[in-house]
Amino acid sequence: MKQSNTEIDRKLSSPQQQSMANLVRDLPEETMSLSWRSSLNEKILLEASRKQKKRFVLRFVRPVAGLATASVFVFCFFALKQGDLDSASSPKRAGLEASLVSFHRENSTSFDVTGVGLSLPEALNDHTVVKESSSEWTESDIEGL
Amino acid sequence: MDRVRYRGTLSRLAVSLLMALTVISAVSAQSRPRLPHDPIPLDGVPRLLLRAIRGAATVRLHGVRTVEFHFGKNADHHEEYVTRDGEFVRIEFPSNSKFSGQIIVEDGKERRHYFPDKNEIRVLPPRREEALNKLIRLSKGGFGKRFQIKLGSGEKVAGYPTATISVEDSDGNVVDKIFIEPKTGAVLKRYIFDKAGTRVGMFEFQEVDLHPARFSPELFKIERKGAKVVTPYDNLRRLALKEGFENVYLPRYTGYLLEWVKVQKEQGSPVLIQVYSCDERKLTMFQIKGNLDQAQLNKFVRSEFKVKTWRMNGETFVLMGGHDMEALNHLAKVLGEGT
Repeated sequence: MKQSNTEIDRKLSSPQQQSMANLVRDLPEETMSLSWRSSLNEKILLEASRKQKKRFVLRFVRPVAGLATASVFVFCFFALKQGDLDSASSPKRAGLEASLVSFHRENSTSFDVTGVGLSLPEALNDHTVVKESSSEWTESDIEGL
Repeated sequence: MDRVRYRGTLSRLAVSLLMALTVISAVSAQSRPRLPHDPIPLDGVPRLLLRAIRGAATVRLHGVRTVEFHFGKNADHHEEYVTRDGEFVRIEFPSNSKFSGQIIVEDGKERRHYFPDKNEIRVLPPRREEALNKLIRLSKGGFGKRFQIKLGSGEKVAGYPTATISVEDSDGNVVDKIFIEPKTGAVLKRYIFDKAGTRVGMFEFQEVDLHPARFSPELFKIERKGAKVVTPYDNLRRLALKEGFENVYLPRYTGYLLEWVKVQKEQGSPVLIQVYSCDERKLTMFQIKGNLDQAQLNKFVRSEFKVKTWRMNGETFVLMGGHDMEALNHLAKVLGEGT
């Protein structure tokens, strides 16, 4: 199966091979261009500087974002805690305390105005529409006088 | 010997009696604390104001007056027909009034308010002209703040010339102004201002006769067979039972008489409110099923009046009024504080 060197030489010097050799020899000679390499370098440089900028920004942004997130968590935690405290005492209670004081103040002043006449509770109790509201008179008020 | 024994027995008896009396008086003093009354000092009070105060017990008039007040969400304007013979007073309302048919009479000892639609007579303590006495206390710094009383001449009211008394705070803001007919001492008009200087309350006689014919004593009585007679103490008992509050009130011997009572919802929970009067002073007692923030309360009260709070049987009690703290502490003890 193995061809001998003489056999190979004989085949290579055949007219078909010779014509092909001539064809290849006659092909125009091309000089190697490095422009693609240059453009590639530029692209690599550009990409590198972009990455550097990104890295620079991230160096600051990451801690800031982390700090902000932590702050939000802390804020939420304290706000909720304060909210719990508030709902347990301040806003509702402050409303109650304020309304007690204003009730006493208005009632006392109304007696000064009306003297022996119809006082504020007397004037309002029997003629005010009863509503289910924290600031309105209840049914008990009407019965209460 | 027998005489000596007899003398010894007598002296032992006397000592025992003395001790018993001491114990009784101590117990009695404990159960009835010193009453918070103090006489109104009249020295330096303007003659016009004195005349108005005395006039409340002697003036005779018959007239029509308009009454207005505007306190936050509460506002009203109505007309009253007033008949007055010293301490005896009768008030009726025009036929087109929302209070038409109601009659109020006072005889110096009690006030009776008749409601025809309910056929009910409410028996209340008398009001007299308490507000005039309050003016004197105001001028004497009796409410924790010093006010000044200034005299002036006023316009004609219902055809009568008037002189005015203005009550001003230390900055010269008028808080109260009354128009008095100087010959009789009849108060014909009154303005009350809030801290912003807005007029929040007033009454004014539109027509008045200061020299009317003699009134029948029957005018000042309400006696209606079949009418239900109700006192504020009855209402308190009923409301306390209905709303689940302790039926606690100031006994009459303290001088504080219950004027009216009601249950009002505040922040979703019911508050039992009792309003007492003692001379010209008003005292409000609140009963709350829960806690109260004393600091918040003091913040809103400022120095206008005194407040006493305590907890008892699962409720918070609040006494509020223009009294000194000593008086409020006494009243709290009467109500059972610390027991």
